[in-house]
Parts: sequence; structure tokens; C-alpha cells
Amino acid sequence: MLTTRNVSFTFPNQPRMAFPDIHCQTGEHWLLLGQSGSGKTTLLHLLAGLRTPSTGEINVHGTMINQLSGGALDQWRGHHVGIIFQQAHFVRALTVQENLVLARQLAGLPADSKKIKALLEQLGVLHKLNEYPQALSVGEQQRVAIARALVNEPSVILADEPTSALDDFHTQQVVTLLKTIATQANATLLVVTHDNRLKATFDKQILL
Amino acid sequence: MNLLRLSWKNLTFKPLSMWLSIILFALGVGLISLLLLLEHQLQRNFEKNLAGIDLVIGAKGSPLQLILSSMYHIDNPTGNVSIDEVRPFLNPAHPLIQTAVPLSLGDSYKGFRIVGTTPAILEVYGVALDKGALWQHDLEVVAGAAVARELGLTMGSSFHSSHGLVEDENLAHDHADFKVVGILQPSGTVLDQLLLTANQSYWMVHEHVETPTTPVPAAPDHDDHDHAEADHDHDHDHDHEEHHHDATSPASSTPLWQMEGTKDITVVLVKFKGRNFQALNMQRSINENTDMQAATPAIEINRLYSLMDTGEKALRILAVVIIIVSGLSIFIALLGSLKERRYELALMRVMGARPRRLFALIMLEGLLLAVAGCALGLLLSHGSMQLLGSAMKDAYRYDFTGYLFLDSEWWIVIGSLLIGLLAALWPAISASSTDISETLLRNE
Repeated sequence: MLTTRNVSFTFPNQPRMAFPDIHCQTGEHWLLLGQSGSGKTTLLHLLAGLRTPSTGEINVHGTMINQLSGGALDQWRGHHVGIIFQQAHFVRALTVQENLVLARQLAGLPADSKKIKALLEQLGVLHKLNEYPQALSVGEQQRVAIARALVNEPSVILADEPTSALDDFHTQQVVTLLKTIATQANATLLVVTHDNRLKATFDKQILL
Repeated sequence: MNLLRLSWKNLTFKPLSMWLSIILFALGVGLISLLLLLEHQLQRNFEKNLAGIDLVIGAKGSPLQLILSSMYHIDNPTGNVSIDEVRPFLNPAHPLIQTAVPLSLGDSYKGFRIVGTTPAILEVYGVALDKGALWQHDLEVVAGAAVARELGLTMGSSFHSSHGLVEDENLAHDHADFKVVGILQPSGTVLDQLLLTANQSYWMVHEHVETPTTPVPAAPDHDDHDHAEADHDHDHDHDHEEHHHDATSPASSTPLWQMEGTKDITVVLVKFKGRNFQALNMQRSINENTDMQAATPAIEINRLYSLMDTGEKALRILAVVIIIVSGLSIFIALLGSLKERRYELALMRVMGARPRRLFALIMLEGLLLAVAGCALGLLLSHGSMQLLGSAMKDAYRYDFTGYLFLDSEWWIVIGSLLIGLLAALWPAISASSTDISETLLRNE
């Protein structure tokens, strides 16, 4: 369950941004729509615990993350949130497998190569296990990024504009993949986008 | 995937930049370490070979040259002195002198110097025989441990000496055979590098042309037979009857100080009974009242140190500058890679890494570079010391070794690690204070 109440954030020397309250049940798939500059990425960062709200509270599966700080917040984020960014980024000196191992270990979890391989297989990139991320195509990188977001079995999956660089075909593919995976993991999925193509595929929507 | 491995992977991802930092660091460390090794071994060599000798008496000239040639065997002698002049110092009844060792210098065999002397030299340097016996007759030789090893001399080996201190076929004394009768134990002193014989053997080698059995008044190469300096006139006006050169005649039957005639030796090494006023006065009196000079080894060696010190200081400053530059290069390399990795570091924060983890990661990268540079530098310095050692042995009459780790080198190691950490400090702080959200926004 993911709920927010009266959340607002203020950048220095800028007007206050107020966000609508959100109520997402566990396992639901939501679309967060907004134009550029509407603060949707800021909201995503707030939900991920990358920023602390100026006012209001954020409750993720019973944890008031606006009250966490420092190491506790890092730990919580590593454990409970999987984030997929518009562009896939990796630790460039590490292979695909090592990147996933790193994601687990930074969250304080054991490496578990079986799980990593199963996940990569499900996403169709198992054969890229020992390659460096730079050597992968954009589509493959996106899949590996999804695998990394899921490798710690998060309860919340946040995707920031995952489709903005993709054509219609691949957009559909990625959305289907995200939904399938989130359903399997029983995780709450929240996709932040300005991409109107996605409107049709999500029935639960928040408009910023 | 522990932090150390991650640091290592990050470094090897940019091998050129990594090697530049490491090699620069290694050069600085290697240079300092090499200087320390050289200085240490040279000083050890000089001090070990002081052997408690208080005074060296020889022909006039540079006192430093006198000491270097007679105690370290690394320069040419200043010339010869007549045995008449030094006779009083060789007399065992001299009230101030405990030991006096006469040396005849100027000949060599395959680059190793032949020294005419008395058995007292072994006591002075504290060296014992390993095999065989001391010289009893003319032309019998006791070889130093290193000479025997290098030239493969064994008991009974024989050779022709060569006039002068460098190997030259044309100057060979091909008339007299030296025979090895003993080999010394290795001692780390200069005796390791010498061939010892009786002073009388020297005279014999140099005067054979005038022996009664070979009545050639003046051999064509006679002028070359000045066994010390070319400008020093060898006195051949001795009485032939007195010295019957027969290889079987006992060489040392007559003590040197009782020998008549005007034979030459090169120097006398003197050990005093005590360093009192009279003993100290002796040096001045020799220098003022005779045609000879007396020099104090310790003073001359200190002068030599201060001469070397200037050059060494310059080299040290150079090494320190190189190390500082290499520290800067580590700093710049880390800062540069940080700029490229900003997003990557933010990503690690997103995945749950705490700031102190990123701090440790970058510090480790700096430390790894320093450790690798330091290790390579020490390897370089000890390796090149070992290589240089064989080349320098001939020049310094000393076995230099690279298989020696000095205490002071620990300070190099500690200093290197500190420099590595210091160079990484600012990049590490910058990495750990990365604002995740800002970084992610900027890059998208």
C-alpha cells in the first residue's frame, strides 16, 4: 500500500509544489500523468525517498518514509523500492551480472546468482550475463535495468518515463513486461510519464 | 562484490589513466628508495672499512685520494714513499703505534687489485683464512673471497699480474707467476675484493729485469715499471746483492722495517695505542716536517659525504617533487573519473549505498593506486640496485645488493599510503556528498 497526504516540496527560490494525495493498494498498477515541469519526477523522487518532502507524509507499506533519514532511508530504499529510469545507467566497470549482484549487496542482501539468472532469463537477456552494459542495445539495457529494479523483490516499482525514447512497438512491449513482472512480484507499480500512448493501458491514473 | 573489488574494477576500467598514476608514483618512490639503498650501502662500506685505522701515511697529494686508494682501493695511489722514510712507523717498538700495516699498491689481475702487505692486515680488518695458509714466500698470494669466487681461483691457481689498476694485456708482467696459497673468508670488507701478497713480491715483480741472472741494464719498457703513479720516479738504485730473487726464498723472514736499501712502498696504515695528544700531533708533524703526508680516514670520509650530500640532496628533492606530482596525478585521475561517474554513484545511492560507502570506495581507489605505485617503485629500486650492483662493484670494491630492505623504506611505504589517501580525500568527500536527486535530474 502506498499513500501520501498533503505532500509538498519547495525548491530553493521557487514556488511551493503541492501534490495530490495518492492511494495505491498493494499490487495495483498506476499511471502518473503530467506535462513537463509539472513536478512528476520530483514526486517520484519523493516516493522513492531520494528527497524528503517539505510537508505532508508518505506511507509505503506501513513505513512513514518522510520520517526516515540518512542511512535508514538508504537502507529502506535499497530494500523496498525498485526504480527504472528513462535512460538505463549502470556501473560501467561491471558486467550485467555484477551490476545485479551489486544491487543486491548494496541493499544488504546476499548475491543469489540463481535468482539473478532466472530474472534475466524471464526478461530475455540471460545471454548478456557476462557482457558489459555499454555493449548492449538500448532495448537490452532497458531490460537489464528492469531486472536490476526487481532483483531485490521490492514492494514498490517506480518507473520514470520508461518509454519516452521507444517506438510504439517497444513501448507496448516494455509496458506489458512491467505489468507482468509487477503482478508476479505482487508489487505496486507506478509509472510516471507524459506519454499519452500509455493512457489506454492503465485504468488507474493520477493527473498532475 | 566487495568494495575492494569494485575499486579495482573501476581503476582497471581506465587502464591508461591508472598506469600513468602508478608509473609516476613508482618513479618517485623508486628514486627515493634507490637513493636510500645506495647511501646506506656506501656508508656501510665506508664505515666497515675504516677498520679502526687512525692514520694513513703516504706520498704527498690529495688526502682524500690517499684514503680512497689505500683503504677503499677505488682511486689511484698518490705515489710511493721510500721505506727509509716510513721505517720508524713500522718499528714495533714505536711508543704511540699499536699496529702499522705497510701497503704496496699499483698492480692488478683482471681488474682486482694486488696488495703487497704484511699478515697484520688480516687482524686490522678482522678477517680469517677460509682455506690454505698465509703467504710464506715471494709470489704467494692469498685471495679475497669475492676475487676467488669471481675469477674461479682455487688453491694452487697461478696467474700473471698486470701493471696498473685496470685490465690491460699490454701491461702484463709475464715474467712472474703468482700462486694462490690461501683464500679468505667472506667478510664484507674490502679484503673480499683484494689479492694479498708480501710487499717483497711487489719488488720482485717490478725488478726482475735487473736481477743478476738477467743482465739487461735497461729494458725498453722499463719506464712503465713505476708501480704507483706515472709521475712518480721508481728508484732502482738498490743493491742487487741484497735481494736475491728466488721464488723459494722466504719472503717475510726479514721484517720490513729492518730491511735495508731504499725500497718503496705505497702507504702505511696506522692504528694508535690511544688517541692522545702526542698521537694527534703525529699527523701534523708528518705533514709539516717530511715529504710525506698523513691523513685521518674518518675526517676524509666525512668530507666525501659532504661532497656527495649536495648531489644527493638535489636528487632527493627531485624525487619528492615527482612524488608530489604523482599525488596530483592520482587526485586528477580520481576527480576526472568522478565527473564521468557522477550518475553511477547516484545510482549506487539509489540502490541503497550510504554516503560513507561511496567515500570508502573512492578512498580505496586512491589507496590502491598508491599501493601499486609504491610496490612497483620498490621493485624497481631493488631490482635496479641489484643490476647496478654488479656494475658498481668494480668502481667501489663492494658487493652492492638489492636484497636488502631498510627500516627507512617503511617510511616510504607509510608516506606513499598517506599521499594516496590525501589525494583521494577531496574526490571522496565530493562523491559521498553527491545529491542523488539533482544528479539524476541533470542527466536525464
